[in-house]
Amino acid sequence: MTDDELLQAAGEAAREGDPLQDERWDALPSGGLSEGDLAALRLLADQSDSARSAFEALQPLDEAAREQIVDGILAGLAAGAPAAPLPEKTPGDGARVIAFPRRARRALGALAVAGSLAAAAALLLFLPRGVSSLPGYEASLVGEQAQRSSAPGAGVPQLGPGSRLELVLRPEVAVDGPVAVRSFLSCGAEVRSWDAPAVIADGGSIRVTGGYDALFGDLPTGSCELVFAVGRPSALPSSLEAVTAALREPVRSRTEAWHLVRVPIRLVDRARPGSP
Amino acid sequence: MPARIQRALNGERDAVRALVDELSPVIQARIVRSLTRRQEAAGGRDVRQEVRDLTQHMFLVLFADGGRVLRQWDPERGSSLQNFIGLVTEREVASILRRRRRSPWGEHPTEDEDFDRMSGAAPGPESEAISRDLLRRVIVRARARLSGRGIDLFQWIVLEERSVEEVCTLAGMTPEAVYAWRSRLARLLREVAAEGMSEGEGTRRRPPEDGANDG
Repeated sequence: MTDDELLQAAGEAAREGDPLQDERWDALPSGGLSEGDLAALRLLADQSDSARSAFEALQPLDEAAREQIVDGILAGLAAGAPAAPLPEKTPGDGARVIAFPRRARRALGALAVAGSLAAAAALLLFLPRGVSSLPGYEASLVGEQAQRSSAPGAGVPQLGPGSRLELVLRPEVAVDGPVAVRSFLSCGAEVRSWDAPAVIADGGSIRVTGGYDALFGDLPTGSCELVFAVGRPSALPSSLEAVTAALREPVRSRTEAWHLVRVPIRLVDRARPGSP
Repeated sequence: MPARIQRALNGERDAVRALVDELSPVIQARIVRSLTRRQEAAGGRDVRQEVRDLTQHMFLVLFADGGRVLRQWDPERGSSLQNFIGLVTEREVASILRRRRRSPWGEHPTEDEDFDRMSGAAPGPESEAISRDLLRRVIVRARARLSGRGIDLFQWIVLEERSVEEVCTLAGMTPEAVYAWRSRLARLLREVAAEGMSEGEGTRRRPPEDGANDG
């Protein structure tokens, strides 16, 4: 069997299990599928979790989402600033067929020339001059909690006495330069500072680990949010009031010098069976 | 440069909105395929929200720096705007996913160069008759050994059977590097298949902790 034959056979085998092999998936976001085709995709969506996720994610963007994108584009064009971190050249690779723009960060003070901006974009105007932006962050629970939270219907992760929190906040792209984090707990109407043991790695990833008793031992059971203000050291909010206000804001732009990462959890009386 | 794109780059709201309407389907579709096929759509995240966020991010990429990426589309080269944007999207998403995996707390796949050092990579008699069922299991195990870049290349070369030219575009590689990766992937598949045949269920050559992060 030659390399070509082996790779071809492997490709055929891999495609047999590919839930997105049907080309009608590509037409789903346009909203132009016939009822018959839609029904066929719904049938496929019922057959696997990944197909179900794809079906939901490929629904056409609604009016608000499209207008939000337009606002972001116009804000960037008006400011003349690159608004998104872009890929860097891959070490060791050769010529590039598409020359992507260089990754660049400019003082966001330039955004003051922007005219009418939507709420998310307007927040950029209040950034200190010279503070470079950060990409979006996402939170993921590690280990037993992550397995439980990814199971269908598992809902909000639960933590109780005897369990352990292992949380990673990961930037969408690696971050150059200093990153800082401040932690808060939002339980009910109260927001309070939280002395979470956070370790920041090169590239901007943040890891928070600790036992339940040390982290949450003095809190009543119930639903809470772990709230992390992640950003450039000089840009982080210094007061509870600022964080509380930010929690009430709509989703912020992903290019700010700081932003909030929110992780809902539920504190329970005791650890679930199997908890570490 | 088509007038409608120039108008959008000039900041005319209607033109920008028209481009968003025109391009968001292909951007969404390529993002979802990239996430799903790399098995990145799991993990408790809200996939729909992630796709929306990445879609917005892609438009910012296209229009950043005065629309530098968008301006690179040349209809004279024969590629449709949708196809061009689709390739840009796939490349950007692959880059983002690689960076995620590069996290110090991310995966620990086998370093690319390790494939070249693997013994038993030459095709043997047993590899002549790899069943479809075994092949599926081989693929799962082989993917688990790949770095972030390796997963991308497996996706483009094996699963999607992209042309070398397209893989060059997506990966930012020379044709020679792409051909070298084809050989590496074939060698890895043979290696894993040989393990599976000789050891029944098969075992990994070494624990994943021995590997290095994405290279």
